[in-house]
Amino acid sequence: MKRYNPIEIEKKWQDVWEKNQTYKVDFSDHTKPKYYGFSMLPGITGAGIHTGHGRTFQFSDIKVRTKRQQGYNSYSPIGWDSFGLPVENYAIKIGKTPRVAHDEALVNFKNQLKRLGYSYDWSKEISTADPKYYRWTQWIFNQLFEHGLAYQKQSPQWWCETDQTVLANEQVVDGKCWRCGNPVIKKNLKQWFFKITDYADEILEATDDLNWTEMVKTMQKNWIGKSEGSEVEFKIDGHDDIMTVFTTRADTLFGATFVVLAPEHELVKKLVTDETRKKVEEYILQAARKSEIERMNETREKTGVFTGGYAINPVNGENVPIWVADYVLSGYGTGAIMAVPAHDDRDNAFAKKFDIEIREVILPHRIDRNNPPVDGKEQVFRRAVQGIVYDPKTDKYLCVQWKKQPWTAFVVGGVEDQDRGDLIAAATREIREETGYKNIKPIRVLGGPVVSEVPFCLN
Amino acid sequence: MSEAEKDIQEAIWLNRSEITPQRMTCAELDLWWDRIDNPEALYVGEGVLVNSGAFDDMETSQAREEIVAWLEQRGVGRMKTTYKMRDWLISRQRYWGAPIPIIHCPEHGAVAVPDDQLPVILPEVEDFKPKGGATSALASATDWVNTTCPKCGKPAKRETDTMDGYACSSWYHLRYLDPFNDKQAWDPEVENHWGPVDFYNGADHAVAHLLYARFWQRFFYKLGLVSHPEPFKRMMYNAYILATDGTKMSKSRGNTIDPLEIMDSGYGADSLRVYEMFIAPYDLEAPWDTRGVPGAYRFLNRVWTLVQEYMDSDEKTLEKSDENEILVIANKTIKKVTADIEDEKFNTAVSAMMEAVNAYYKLKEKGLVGKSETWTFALEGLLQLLAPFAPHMTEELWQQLGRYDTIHIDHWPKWDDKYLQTDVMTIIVQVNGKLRAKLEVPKDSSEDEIKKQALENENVKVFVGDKKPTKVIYVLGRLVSIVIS
Repeated sequence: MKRYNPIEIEKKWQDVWEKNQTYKVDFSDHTKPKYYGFSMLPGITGAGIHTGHGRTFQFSDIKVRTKRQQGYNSYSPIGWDSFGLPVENYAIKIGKTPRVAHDEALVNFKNQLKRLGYSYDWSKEISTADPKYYRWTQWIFNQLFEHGLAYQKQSPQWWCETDQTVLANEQVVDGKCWRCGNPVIKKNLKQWFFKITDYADEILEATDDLNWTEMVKTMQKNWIGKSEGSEVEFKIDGHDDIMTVFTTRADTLFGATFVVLAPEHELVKKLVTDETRKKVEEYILQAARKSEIERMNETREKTGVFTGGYAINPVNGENVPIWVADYVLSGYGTGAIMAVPAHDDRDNAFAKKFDIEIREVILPHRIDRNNPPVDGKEQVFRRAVQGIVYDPKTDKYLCVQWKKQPWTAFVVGGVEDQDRGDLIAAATREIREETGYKNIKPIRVLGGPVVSEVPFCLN
Repeated sequence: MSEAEKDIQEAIWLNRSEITPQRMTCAELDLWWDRIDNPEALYVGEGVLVNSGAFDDMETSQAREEIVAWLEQRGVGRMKTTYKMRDWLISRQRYWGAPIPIIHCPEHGAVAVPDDQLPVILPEVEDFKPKGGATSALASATDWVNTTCPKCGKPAKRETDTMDGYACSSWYHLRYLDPFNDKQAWDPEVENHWGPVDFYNGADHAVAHLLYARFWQRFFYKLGLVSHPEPFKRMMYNAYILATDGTKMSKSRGNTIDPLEIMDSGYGADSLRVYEMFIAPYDLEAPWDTRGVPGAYRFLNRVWTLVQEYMDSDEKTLEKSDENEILVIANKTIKKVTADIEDEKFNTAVSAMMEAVNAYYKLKEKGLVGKSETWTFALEGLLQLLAPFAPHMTEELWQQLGRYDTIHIDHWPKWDDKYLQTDVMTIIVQVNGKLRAKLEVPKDSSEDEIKKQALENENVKVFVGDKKPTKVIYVLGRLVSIVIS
């Protein structure tokens, strides 16, 4: 009986497959159905692949192998992501040119992948740093340029003087370079862009129908970040300028008690008065040292300064103060927001800190799903108060249960004229009358009014 | 409380878990809990308007439209859609990338290098390292930088930024289909047959790379260069496996495992491959277990030994029932593994094959292995199912069994449904010793399943009522006895 000797038989069959070109595909053979599958191509660095990468490559190998066995003309290609920062940084590290560093590292990669027995068609191997390949990457650039989808634009980028390089937003921590720890600055650089935003809607719309891992679809949708809303123009008191804000909640416009500009907004400098100029300019400088991620941090204490200017709320003609604050970003929307402190957490924190009016304009509206309104039955509007009584000793709440109807509720009662708007008095009275409990200590008022549609009559 | 009120209602004390939306006649219960738990909570949801002039009492969704319409009439507002996504910044001030094929002419501005002059070859430079300033090291290659304008022929300068690496990887799925073409990037006719990619996977680049590839594909689609607007029909995003200590494998932590090391220690690629698939479902992170590869090796060894013993055995005429048992195992496994691979449940496909091998071993121990059509079907079927996972060993055994062509092309076993019908059995359900129901359940049902079905039976429920059974006893293959007090 032969013994299982993997080292021996694996070498033997890899040689046979190579000689017989077992996995080589003839593109023009249409006699069988096609199957085309592969994993994201490996980026080349010094270390080669580890078993985690190996697993990733194997998923596509299993799929393609199975289809090949099931009668498909099955193609699994291989190529190398040869250009880019990882290779260049690796080359710097080992003191060789990127080309040499890449070619040397590739030897190990190929050996690893061949030994693992993936069914690649090695005769069609490609490398993105091969002039025969990047000739066509450049050709695609030309196509995009010709169609107005490649353009050059000045744009502020994070710049580290020490490392002499641009940094991505994610590489700026507390205003400092993640690598050397020195402060970074924003530098206006002329850069090339591809206009992917022209395709945002199209890509977004097609996302739901893709047979892709759901998490990736969600991440892509969030990244595109479409929001449907409206632009609202605020005139500026005593100026010809207009500030435009973007909002998804135009229904809260009457609650906009102030507006906020991003520190980078061009209007800020026009609005300052002699009194506010110094403070505003200092604030702008401070903000320039913070990364967007830091500025978006919800838990950070809000900062900002009053510009000295006022905007006119178009729906009610009220003058509202214009502030500058770094929680508003220049790159999103218009770089200006209307702040509705009663119904937005960040605006609320800001208004509380700077003592700005908070005006409630939306009431919650609830309909009892167990007893929805019946067509043709009259609904009566009543002002009511509820008393929620909690007994800390038993950890229980006081409720009222109807005997003839299937109703249970907290203590509810109509607000009477005699209460003269004293809701606490009204609630205390209702609790006493409906439950007999007298020793009640009012703790706090649980928020503002609610519009509720419920089945019972108040007595 | 008045006497009249006592007749219609009573006061009761309830704990929080009893105060449910189903029980309470309180439409806004969610708000009260919110406000009790978090006194600072704002109301950020939908509702009706107040303090909003002519729009008071209107629902928020309607008010959004009407307020914008009102603004629009006065020319101070309009509907608008915004996106978080920005345009794709492709400039890199680094050397190692594809040069952006642009020439800057003082007169004509940015001019594309004509297609017939591509590629713009990345020149060799003395020192490729970034030197700061707003340019890459290419700026130092003055012979290369200084050129002439393709439009007017006057002196002009080449763009020294290189392209983001993501540009290179946004279209390679198309070049794979025509890798040697020097007339065009790819032949649309080849793409028309082979596109789109049927299966694509990776553990990274969920956003940027995949979005950029989709963007380019749609652009090519509009130019008539590709047959589908989406590049990847199926994209499977897999989790990485972790190092043995449960942290991410990375070179800087020094906890990576080189596949060569495992293979060279004697296990070979096939054992590693089997373990890689067995370790966890594709979308779950799982730590590497050093006992995993040896385990997979033992499994492959068992397959090897089974086939060897079969080859060394004599012809055997099997009893009908033994033959049937072998065929049930074989057909069940073929169906299961075929479906699992289709559904990307690679780990359960491996377990199904392990179970089959265990079952065959039980028959082997009874001395039931011997040359026969039935065993040939079972063993060849197993090798074919295992071939994508352990391609080398299965190929070797396939040949040893006397096959001359490769196992890897056009060999996949088919199952016959007639071996997959599980028989049903009748289970009697008693409540306090009295017959209350009869259940028809598949013979391989588990005890838990049967008990659950018994308790959920409508007639049983009538006799159990809302009492909690003190005992539920299952007598294998016969009855369930429920005792209530």
